[in-house]
Amino acid sequence: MLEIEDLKVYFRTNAGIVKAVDDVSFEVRKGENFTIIGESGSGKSVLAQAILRLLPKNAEICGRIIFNGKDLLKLSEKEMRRIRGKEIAWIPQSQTSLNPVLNVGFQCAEPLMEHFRMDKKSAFARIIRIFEFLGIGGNRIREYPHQFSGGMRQRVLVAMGISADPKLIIADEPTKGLDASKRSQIVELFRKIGDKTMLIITHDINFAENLADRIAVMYCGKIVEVSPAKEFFREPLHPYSRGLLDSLPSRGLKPIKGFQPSMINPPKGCRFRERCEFAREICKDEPPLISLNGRFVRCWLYDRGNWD
Amino acid sequence: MIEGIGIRKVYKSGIFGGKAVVAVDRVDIRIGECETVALVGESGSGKSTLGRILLMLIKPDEGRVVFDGIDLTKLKGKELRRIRTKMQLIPQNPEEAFDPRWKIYDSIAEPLRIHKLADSRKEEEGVILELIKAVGLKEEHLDRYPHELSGGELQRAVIARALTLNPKFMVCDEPTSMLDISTQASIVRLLMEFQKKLGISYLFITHDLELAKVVADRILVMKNGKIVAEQS
Repeated sequence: MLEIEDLKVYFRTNAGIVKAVDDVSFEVRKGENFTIIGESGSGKSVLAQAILRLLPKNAEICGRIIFNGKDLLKLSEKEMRRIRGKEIAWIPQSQTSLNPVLNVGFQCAEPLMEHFRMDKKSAFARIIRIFEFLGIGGNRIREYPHQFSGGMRQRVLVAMGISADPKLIIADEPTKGLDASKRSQIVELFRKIGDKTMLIITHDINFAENLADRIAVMYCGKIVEVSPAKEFFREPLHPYSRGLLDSLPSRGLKPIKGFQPSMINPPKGCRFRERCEFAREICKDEPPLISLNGRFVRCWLYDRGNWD
Repeated sequence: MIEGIGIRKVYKSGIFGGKAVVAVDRVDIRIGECETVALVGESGSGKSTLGRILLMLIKPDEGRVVFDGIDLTKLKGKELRRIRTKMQLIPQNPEEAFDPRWKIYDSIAEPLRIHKLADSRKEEEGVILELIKAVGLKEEHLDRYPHELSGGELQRAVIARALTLNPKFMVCDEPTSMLDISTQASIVRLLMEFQKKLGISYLFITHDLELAKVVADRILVMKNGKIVAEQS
């Protein structure tokens, strides 16, 4: 459904080139929930925004983003507009993404009026149905964003995302800033719309564990592992994946030593090498993406030819 | 160590105070020496208000806060300020905890300057350098502005600032909810390490029950301004 090939997103800044996304390839299959996890600054949000071409002008993007046979990077802005919201929906982070001076109903109905030329009345009627399905309450349609709590606002954003019945939903940190009980409600919410193809970006590992079919781990602009979710949580392959899971309170709260490297001057070879307990001489070379029983990992540990 | 007895706080709104929200409703809480008590609950349950009342940053409507045998609610401003050196807050969002126009060094030095604890510039520098290394930052960080540090680095700087006055009691108000999980692990480990070394009591406010289980000696669950459950 969505295929990303050798995607690179670079930002030119005064301090140097920031390689926010560096040679990333993966595919999202129809009907699955593909979740990218990683820490802030790993480039995962930039990756999502690159797919919808929402990045500022100073971003240099190359590679291919194939969606239903079309390369999104080759489309004009006008053609892209027809895809955003209708074919691919974007569910942003909740805090700042609603317009404070428009009522939520209008904001959710806008894609319907825009893409399907629906009149206001039928668009609103449909939004009321979606609101009720998501547990917001259809009578709140004329309220403004400030009248909603954080969890409710997230629901409104989900409603906005699914209103035009898109083929692919991209959600960026849907649980950010919510407390634990609200998070589990958002998990339920995403289960409800679970038949859709979804690309979820999050650093909330519990959220990923509950929803994902496949997990990709991003570190410092690179995807270091792609695994089916069940296998990933049973036995993560990449040392960074392991460190990430071990830092969960329920799995021992063990920090990963060291700090994330700068994106301007990342270490050569494996970017996790300086924090990795298994690092060897060979890790100074770029590790290949190794395929292992349907899983992918970018680490020299799994390269049989290099075992001593 | 620190005790809150029958604490109550009501917020009134509307012209005649017609709408009242009971943020904290007659709560008794006790935190012993070197103990960590976790306070968990949903947002809006009153846990942050309770934490701030124990620090006397919010005045309770009813009840007493007793710290080391002294009733803080009866103290005047000056005496209270002296006692406050022993109590610190680690806030939720480190980005809001620092003055954006000040360098990290000045922010960390401020408590020393206010309480006149360093006799010379040199002594001040010595104290700060030692602290900054203890929390895992480098000397170069001191010369930067808050926006030039990552969330995890800033939270370390907040901890350094809180430690300048050798506190005995700290309220950690969701210190890691804005941070990544691997950063969370290192910040929480850092706080626990200092507790062992310096003998600090913590009130650890969080909404993550799993985290509370790892950190705390006792867990209190708060709902609608009341403590509804305790688990040790």
